[in-house]
Amino acid sequence: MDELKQQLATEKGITLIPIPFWWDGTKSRYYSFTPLLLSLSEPTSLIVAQLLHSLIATIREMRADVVNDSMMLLMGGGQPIPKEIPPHFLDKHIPHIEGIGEPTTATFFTRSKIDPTNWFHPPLPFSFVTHIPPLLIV
Amino acid sequence: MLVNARKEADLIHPKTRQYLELDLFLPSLHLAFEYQVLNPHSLSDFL
Repeated sequence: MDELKQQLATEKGITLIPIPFWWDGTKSRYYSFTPLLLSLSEPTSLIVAQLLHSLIATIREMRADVVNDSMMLLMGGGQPIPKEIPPHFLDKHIPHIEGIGEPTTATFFTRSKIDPTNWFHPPLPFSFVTHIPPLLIV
Repeated sequence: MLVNARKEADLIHPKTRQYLELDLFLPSLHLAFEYQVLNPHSLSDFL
């Protein structure tokens, strides 16, 4: 995070909490639930907190005055968002289909004026075939 | 709650004199959040 922004925020008395991209929540959850949680009374806030335990634990880590003890207790002692990126977080996940392996990705001609008709000719044993249907253009 | 708060947070860049933006700002709690986004530039820091 921008250290200057952090410094300026501190000078203004604002606690600026960075939310790393490896947090398990989405941006929509982040915007929707965080202010909601902070404004709700118990036990409703506790239910919402179940969804956001790592974020709430992170907030508590920096601002214990905002998240109280009972909330943390019922959350089961949620762990803050890790400071370091979890191992293998950025690994590429390639699906595997039994008997096939890695599935191919279909590609299509789109928005092209090129007519691929008759681009492909049959091999010699099949040269008696005189007409090849044009490729399907999507 | 303020999303993409600028003037309200009153964080001014000392050189450009422009307001810096906070992704989420709760003025009553003096609490703000900065949402880190994964982009190709930041990705290179982790690989």
